[in-house]
Amino acid sequence: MTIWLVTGGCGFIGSHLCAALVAAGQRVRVLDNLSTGRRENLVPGAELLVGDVGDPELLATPQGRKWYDEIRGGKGAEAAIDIITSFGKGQLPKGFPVPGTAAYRNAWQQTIKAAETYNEPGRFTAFIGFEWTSNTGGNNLHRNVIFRGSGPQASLVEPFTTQPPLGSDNPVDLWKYMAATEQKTGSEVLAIAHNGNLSNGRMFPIVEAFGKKLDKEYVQTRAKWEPLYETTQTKGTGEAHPFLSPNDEFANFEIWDKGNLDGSVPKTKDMLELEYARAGLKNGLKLEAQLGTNPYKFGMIGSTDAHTGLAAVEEDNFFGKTAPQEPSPERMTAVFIDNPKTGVKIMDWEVGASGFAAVWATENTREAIFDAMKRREAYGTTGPRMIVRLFGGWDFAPGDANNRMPAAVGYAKGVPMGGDLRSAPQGKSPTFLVAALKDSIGANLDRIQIVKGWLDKDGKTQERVYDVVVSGGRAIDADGRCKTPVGNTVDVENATWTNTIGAPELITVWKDPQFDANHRTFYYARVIEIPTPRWTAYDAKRFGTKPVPGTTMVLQERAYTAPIWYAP
Amino acid sequence: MRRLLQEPLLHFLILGALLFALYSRLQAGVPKAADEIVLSRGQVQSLQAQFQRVWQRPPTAEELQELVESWVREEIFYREGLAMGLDRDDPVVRRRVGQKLEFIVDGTTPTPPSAAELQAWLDAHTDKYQIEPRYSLTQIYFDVARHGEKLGADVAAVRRALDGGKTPAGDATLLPLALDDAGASEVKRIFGKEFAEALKGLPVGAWQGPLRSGFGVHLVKLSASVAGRRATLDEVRAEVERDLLHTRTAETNAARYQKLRARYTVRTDQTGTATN
Repeated sequence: MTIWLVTGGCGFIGSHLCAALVAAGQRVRVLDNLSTGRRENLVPGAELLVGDVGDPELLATPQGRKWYDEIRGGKGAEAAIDIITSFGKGQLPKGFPVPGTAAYRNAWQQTIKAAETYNEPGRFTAFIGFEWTSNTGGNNLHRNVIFRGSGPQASLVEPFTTQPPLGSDNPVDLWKYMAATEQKTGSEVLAIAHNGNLSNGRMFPIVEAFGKKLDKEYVQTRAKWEPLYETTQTKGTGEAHPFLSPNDEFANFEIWDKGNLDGSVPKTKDMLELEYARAGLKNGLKLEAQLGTNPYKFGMIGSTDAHTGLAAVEEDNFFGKTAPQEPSPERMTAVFIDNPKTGVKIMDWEVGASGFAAVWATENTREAIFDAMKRREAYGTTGPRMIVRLFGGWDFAPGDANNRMPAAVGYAKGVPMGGDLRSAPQGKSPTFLVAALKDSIGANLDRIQIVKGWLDKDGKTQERVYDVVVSGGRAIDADGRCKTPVGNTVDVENATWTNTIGAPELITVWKDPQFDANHRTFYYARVIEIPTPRWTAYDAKRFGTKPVPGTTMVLQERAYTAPIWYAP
Repeated sequence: MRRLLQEPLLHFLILGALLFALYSRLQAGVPKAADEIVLSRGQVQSLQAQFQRVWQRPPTAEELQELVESWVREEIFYREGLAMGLDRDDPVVRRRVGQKLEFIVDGTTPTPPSAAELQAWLDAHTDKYQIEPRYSLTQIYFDVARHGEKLGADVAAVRRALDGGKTPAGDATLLPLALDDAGASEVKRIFGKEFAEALKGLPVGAWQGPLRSGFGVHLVKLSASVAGRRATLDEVRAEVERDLLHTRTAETNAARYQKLRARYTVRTDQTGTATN
């Protein structure tokens, strides 16, 4: 009896061939390296030998062998042309990747390969990950899924998509996928959501999500998979909104609040509470009181979300979010989103040159950075590369601010950003060591603030902003606010500024003057720079473009840390 | 009987029949009539396998039915759309088809370069593979705003104290007071370009400065300074191979496109087009 050897028998075509042979009563032996083929494709009745003959599917034919040899011999271009020609004539050998098979997986494989090729532990860390682009009805629930592990691990799965029945637009299903992915690959994963500001009230739900009432499982699962939230990026900043925080004069920063991502549904005021980070942090305390877990216990980072391939953004060198917004005389007056049906219109000038994610990791490796993200020891900036420290504890004393190594005293006496304060000692209030160093080529600092949020005795959420250290010897009043602005050196017309105001670094120890040990509370630091020209000012100067009325030309860049939480 | 079994004609007939059966089997997914949709066992298995790769478990009967239904739905819309010619003049379809072609032919791995080729590449791109200068230093920081007009005098006073063997402190700062064997890029990242540039050629072993940075001014003492130099192949083999392969792939792709391009005659009507 003949034994048929089918190379690549675990692939799409190969498995068909095997099925036909087995059905015809033949003995089939399959040789597959399982690089693209799948063990589960093996037809019952066939034997599997795991092995490699180069590219098994392709090499099954003389023609495939010829191409293979040509490619190995440096004649890749010739082989490619031959492949294309053969395809056109319908003469491709069986086993050649066609839609539905290996070629489709190439995008994910290339993503993995790029990260693997350029990942240099200790010098440049490149993570493997993908965006899950849930956007039903134009309501942005996008999340980036990041793998802790290596290429071979990530190759065992494929990215989760939003199209049913294979994928889903519901984050709950993404979390199920993540659990299965960890099981299968042995690599931890986490998800970071962004642009709640374009979710039209869906990013931080408090009652129900996708028609299902929030329950214990929802809050626990979300807390498990989503330790960070991307608070600032090109499509607006979502830390705070002036409507939600009327007493925060810095809340009105790069706000996009006209509608959802495609402008198909205009924004209403009731949506805001469910899409801004500070409100989410506050409502998380409420949900924790109701359901036992805080689903919105996240640290804040920034990122660009740029589609240009450029990882960095600077106001004086901004290449836009996508290729159409690359520098040009027209971009300041062009339209980014225009939905004539709803009248929602966002101009290109509203796109922000923001932001960056900073992580306090023990070393520059995937593992260490991932672990730091998981414990939320991270902060975000709207563009400057500031160094920001925040530690919370019960015993920080003013003298700790004079210590030359704030991290040493910080870790010794407290917890870093993203951590928890527990078991308040009788009669003590939380103390914080907070410090910021300006970007080495950037602007000086105006002030450091502590933003406090808590759940009061009536179960209502509250917030308050404190100025804790300010530049230039300005006074901080008894109410914890500095009423004197830092000033402004920006010459908009010439797009220049000077570091003659502000301070290169700020550090202090702050004690909460109104602490109530019965209240669930969080504290995060916000660092504000002195005013500098926005990218629009540089564009106006360089291209001689006249900005449309209302264009923001000056901004105060900032950083936000992950909170430190206190629970009674 | 034995003779018959050894008859090549019989072998031919059996093999032919087998091939015919195989062929019709493989063609099962191809519609026999315009209104007929056939999902072969293999296609169903493929849907199953796809599900398994996402969910790490086989689909339930219900889920499989849903997968099949959704495939059928897509197929019907696809066929109706094709019949209406909706694939034509559609930039998304056009781009997607082009991308798929690139995916297929991009799978061509270039030949691994030899040691001689790597060395030649390194020699031709020495500026890209420099081992950067490294410094070990101690610094004393002065906040310009804090000293105002007295800055020069204050720095000079500290400098004199240092030269006199004392250990005066500068202003408190979050900047590191010392760096141990730090690369020039790290110095630049922390202190800025101006400061990093100023370290080049600075004498070792004595206090120097003041040096300027974006933060203020600094007195600096280098305890070690290693100049930058060209890298040897062993030090940067992985990067050289990566960059060389990257370039080769790009060249292969460009050559492939040029070959294809040569098969076409392109005529562009630019009458009435405004350019600047």
